[in-house]
Parts: sequence; structure tokens; C-alpha cells
Amino acid sequence: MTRLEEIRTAVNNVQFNRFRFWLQLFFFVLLVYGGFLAIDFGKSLPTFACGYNKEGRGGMCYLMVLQHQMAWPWQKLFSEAGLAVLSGFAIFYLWFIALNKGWCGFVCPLGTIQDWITSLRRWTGIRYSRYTWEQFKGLALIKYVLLALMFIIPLGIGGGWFQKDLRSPFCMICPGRTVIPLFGGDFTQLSVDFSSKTTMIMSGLGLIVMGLFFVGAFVKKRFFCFYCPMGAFHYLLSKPALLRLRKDGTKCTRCGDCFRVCDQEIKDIADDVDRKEIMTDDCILCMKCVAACPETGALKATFAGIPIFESTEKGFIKRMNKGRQAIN
Amino acid sequence: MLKKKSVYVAVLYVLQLIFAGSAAADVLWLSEVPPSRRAQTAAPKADDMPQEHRHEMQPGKTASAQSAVAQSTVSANSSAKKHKHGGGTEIDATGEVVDNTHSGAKQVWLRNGSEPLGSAYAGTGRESETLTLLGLDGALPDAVMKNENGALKARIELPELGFYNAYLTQRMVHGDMLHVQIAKAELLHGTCCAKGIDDEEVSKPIINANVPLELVRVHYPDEKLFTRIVSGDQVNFTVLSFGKPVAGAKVSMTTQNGWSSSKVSDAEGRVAFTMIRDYYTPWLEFKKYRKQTYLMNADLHVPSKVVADGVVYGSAHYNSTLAGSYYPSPHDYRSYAWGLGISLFVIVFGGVAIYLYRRRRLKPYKEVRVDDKA
Repeated sequence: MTRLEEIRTAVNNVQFNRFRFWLQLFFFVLLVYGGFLAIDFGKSLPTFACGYNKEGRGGMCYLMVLQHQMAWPWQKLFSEAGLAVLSGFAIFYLWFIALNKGWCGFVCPLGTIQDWITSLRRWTGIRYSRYTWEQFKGLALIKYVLLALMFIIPLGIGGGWFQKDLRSPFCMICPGRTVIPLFGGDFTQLSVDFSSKTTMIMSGLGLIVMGLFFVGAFVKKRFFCFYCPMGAFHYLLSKPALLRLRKDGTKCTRCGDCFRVCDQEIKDIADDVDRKEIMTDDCILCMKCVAACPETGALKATFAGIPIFESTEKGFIKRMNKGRQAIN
Repeated sequence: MLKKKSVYVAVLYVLQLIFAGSAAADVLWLSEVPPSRRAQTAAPKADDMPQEHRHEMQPGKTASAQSAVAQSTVSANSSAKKHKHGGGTEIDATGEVVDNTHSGAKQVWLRNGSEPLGSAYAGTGRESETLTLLGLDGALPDAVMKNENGALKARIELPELGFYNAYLTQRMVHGDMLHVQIAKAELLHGTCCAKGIDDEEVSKPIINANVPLELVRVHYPDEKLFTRIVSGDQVNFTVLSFGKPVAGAKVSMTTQNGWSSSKVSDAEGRVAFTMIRDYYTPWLEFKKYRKQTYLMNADLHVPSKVVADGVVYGSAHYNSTLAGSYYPSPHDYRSYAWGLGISLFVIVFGGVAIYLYRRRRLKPYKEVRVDDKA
């Protein structure tokens, strides 16, 4: 066995959940407290490094910047100043291409918080919930509606159709705005802004969403990711991404393990044996399906076409045995 | 004889301030608030004319006193930086001043009067004045104030993030009393978002050791480049003369709506004011970003001899102004009780709803016995 094969075997046999936990924790600290260490990855990150976390953030979510820019007066937006929008988008796109929706599965602080809430639920022994297929199909459209509104409303402000108070409409209802600053000791977002009718409604709505976020994330894995417009935006841009999830349908036995571990309840991951590119719009590229697959080579994560993590029988057995030991 | 004359002139000057009603008229200050559109388009009011600061003396003065009027300290500088951009302070459609803290392009107007709202825009009879600019790294090229639509305005480009001071100094001589007026503006090229900036360093107030009287706003310990003063805040100032603290200077603050308070600086030149809440409006008209102006005014009378530019004067009167801005306090419009109440209600209601939903879907155990023999 060559050295490269040894490394590949070690990676494929890794205790994936533990590895992911520590990686998520690393990124969480980096993006939520990185500012205290003078770390700044800029304002074009394709993940919820919330801009409202003023002191600690190690970068800023691009959606906040994008909404601000979209709300510029049209005269400005469609002038030379629009180049700033394009350059910001280009940086966002370069960041995104590297990790694809892996930004959601490994980097997003809000996703990590939801995973921690799931761990809390598991510790209490309360079972989780799943959507019915009909619910799934209907609710999956919400993120596209939010994405469309996220563009339309700021553009409408720039065109003079809406009030400026509606600027950054998604940020106003995003649980990242209310939850992430709490980790830096900033509680100012937990208030209702009565300065105008619009801000009152939007800030109230934001707190309702925060309440739903906590309740939802407790009973449903990655509850908010299902409605996240960033996820929809990612999917629309994901064609040239380097990190990909591939499936070899000929090796799939449709055992359904991948579906059962999927936080997003994506049926295609188990049912679809035809498509090679198996990532869907709801996928967060957490790779839990790869880790749970017992068929060697059926599922794999590739980076620029090179397999970096592959399902193997040996890895599956090792991970399952570890689980059994934990139970025992 | 000379002393007697100087006392006479000083008394006359004070009486003139009191009775001629020109105490307010003679206060020059620098404002970042542009004239309103209505004011810009309307013809100059007759009332504005007497409020203009004029170099000529009041009627009744002697010819020698007239001729003793000094010019501005710095003449117009033809090499002053030109600005092609149209940035700077704006007024939105509702008449509110648009915040331009993020921009390095500033506009400053010369105003005349003791109240932020009632002060006229000085311009009539003036073609240009020169502003001295001072940054953290030292002096910047002077800026020229030019007359635009009857108001003297300077466009200033602040090169780097941080605070800058702009000064307009006027000197007058009444008999052997020197009267110096220093209108100062503290300009901020700020940012809410840029990282990697040494906020403590760039947020330092700038002190000018060359002016006879200066009001310096003491910045807050945690003040950054986007800190806003809000109603309820305590605002501290230091009164300095040539960079050194001055005790006993009379300092007054006037808020946008005319509330005024006066204090005297302590031994270290310090004086503190609490920014009152003076913005009361129906809820539907409330604007949390309403930028309001306060005006600080410091007076110092030096009864002894002073030397300025090699000339000895029997006494001196210094006046310094500094305008700043403040906003409504978040306490006026933010409610944590409602915020936490709504969140907790949703969490409790949602949790109970899910619990009841799950309970309803539980099917009670039913034992079914199948009799194989039947």
C-alpha cells in the first residue's frame, strides 16, 4: 500500500462526526470571535458570519452587504458604483466555489448552533420530527421566495417604492442577527424597534423567527437551513463549484442509510440511482451520507474531481462499531 | 490714560453685546448641516442681513477703530485642493439631514447665531474665507469657503479615516482690546465596518496648540469611528488655550430646539453636560436617525496684556464655538421587554403546540387477539 493509499484509507475510516464537530467548532470560533484576534475575512463570505456581531466577527455575511448595495438608488446602482457590487459578488463567488454548500455543512455558525441544539435534544432523549413528503415539497419553496424578496425589496427601496426602513429585509428576520451576537455578549438585537411601523413589524418578526428557530431546531435537525435563502442562492451558483457530492448508482443498494442520517431529509440521496451529481438545493454538504454509506465507492466527496472522502465498507463498519461501543 | 480708554472701550463693547441684541449675531460657527432647499431657493430674508458677521464696526465708532479691524488670519489660498465629487452632507426628501459619516467628502457652512436652528447662513458680503485643517498627522492644506447661493461653504476631502478639526479664526480690535473668534468643527471620516483599524489611535481628539481658545470634546473611552452621541449621554469638553487647560471659562451648550445651559470650566478646563432629550414628536413622525445639532460656545476674557503677532493689546476676549450632532436615544424607541416577551411566547407556545401535536398522534395500545382455532 502506497503512502497516498494509506492516507486515503485513514480519511475514509475517520470517525466522521467527531471530525466534523471539531471542524465546526473551529470555524465557529473563527467567525464569531475572530474579530477579537484581528481576523477579518472580508465582507463577502458565503455564510452567516453575522455583521451585527460587530466586535467579534471574523468576516461578514455577503447577504448583508448585497442587500445594502441593492438598496442603492438606481442611478447609483447602475453606474460605475455598480462595479463595487460586481467586485463584491466576484469575491463571494470565489469563496463559494471553493467549498460549495460545504459552507453550510461545516462553516456556518448558525448551522453549528442548530447542530448543538440537536445534540441537546438527543441528550434529553426526545425524538426528532420529520416532514411528510407533501410538507417537504411545499416548504422547500420558501427559501426561493425569501431569496426573491431579498432582491426585490432592496431594489424597490432604490427605486423609491419601499421605505428605507425595509433595507436589509432578510437580515431583519434572520435568526443569525438575533442569535449570533449573543455569543459575543451583545443583547441589543433582542429588542423591538418601535421607531416606525416598518421597523416595529420587522424587528418583531425577527424575534418571532428567533423563537421558532429555537423550538424548530430542537425538534427538527437543521430546521432553519431548509428555509435559508443563502442555501438557495448557493444552489443556483453551484455549477462550477470544486467540492462536489457524487453518487455511483450501480453500487447503491438503496438501503436508505444515507436518507436516515440526512438532516435535510433528502430522499433523492437514496432513491436516485441515475444522477452522478447528487447534490440538491436542500443539501448542506455535511457528508453524513457518505459516512453512513456501507457500499464502497457508492458515495464520494470530490474536490476538483479528486476524491477526498469516499464511502467504504471498512469505514462504515468502523464507525458503526464505534457507535455500538458507545451504546454499550 | 491708555488704561482708561481701554476700559471705556471694553465697557462699550459689552454694552453693545447686551443692548444691541447682537450677542447672538456675532457668534460664528461651522455647521455640517446644509441650508434647507426651501431656504436655498427663497430670496434672502431681510432679517438675515443684520445677523451676518461683518468686519465693519457699528455706527458711532471712531475712524481709528474702524481701521483697526483686522482681516482673517489666513488669506484665501488659491492652491487649495479642488473637489470634483458631489459628495457631502445632504438633506433627504423629508428635510432630515442624511448621515454621511462614512464619507470622506465633507461640506461645511459658516453660520451666524447662537442657536443651531435659528442661525443664519453667513454669506452676504463675503466672497471667501479660509479654513485651517488639522488631522491626527498634522496640518492639511487649507480649505477655501466660497459663497454659494448666499452661504459660505467649504468642500473638504478627508484623506484617511479618523477625526479632523477645521478652524476659522477672525480677529477684531476694539480700542486696545483684541477680540478673537474661533469657529471650530470636528469632522469625522468614520466607518462602522472596517476592520484592522486601531480605533483607539484614530479616535483621539485633536488639540491645536496654536489657537488661543479651543473647545475639545473628550471622546468616550470606547469611542470608535461610528460612535453616536444620543440623548441622555454625558458629553465632556475641555477648554484649552494654546493647548493648555483653562479654568473659569464660561461654556454654554445650546441644543437643536434651543435649550441652553451654561457652566464654568474647572481647574483642569473640564466641563460636562448631559445631552437632554428635546425631540418630542408623534410616533408616526418619529425618526430614529434624526441628526440634531448642538452648539457649544466658550468665552474667555483676559483682562491683562496679551501679545498677538508681536502687537501688545491691553486685554483680550476670546470666543470659541464647536458644533456637534446627537441622535434620539435607543431607549426612546427600543423595548427589550417586548422583544424578550415575544421570543419567550413563541418558544413556550411553539413547544407546547409541538408537545400536544405529538401526544395527539400517539395511538393508544390496542391488543388484538387472534383466535387461530376460530
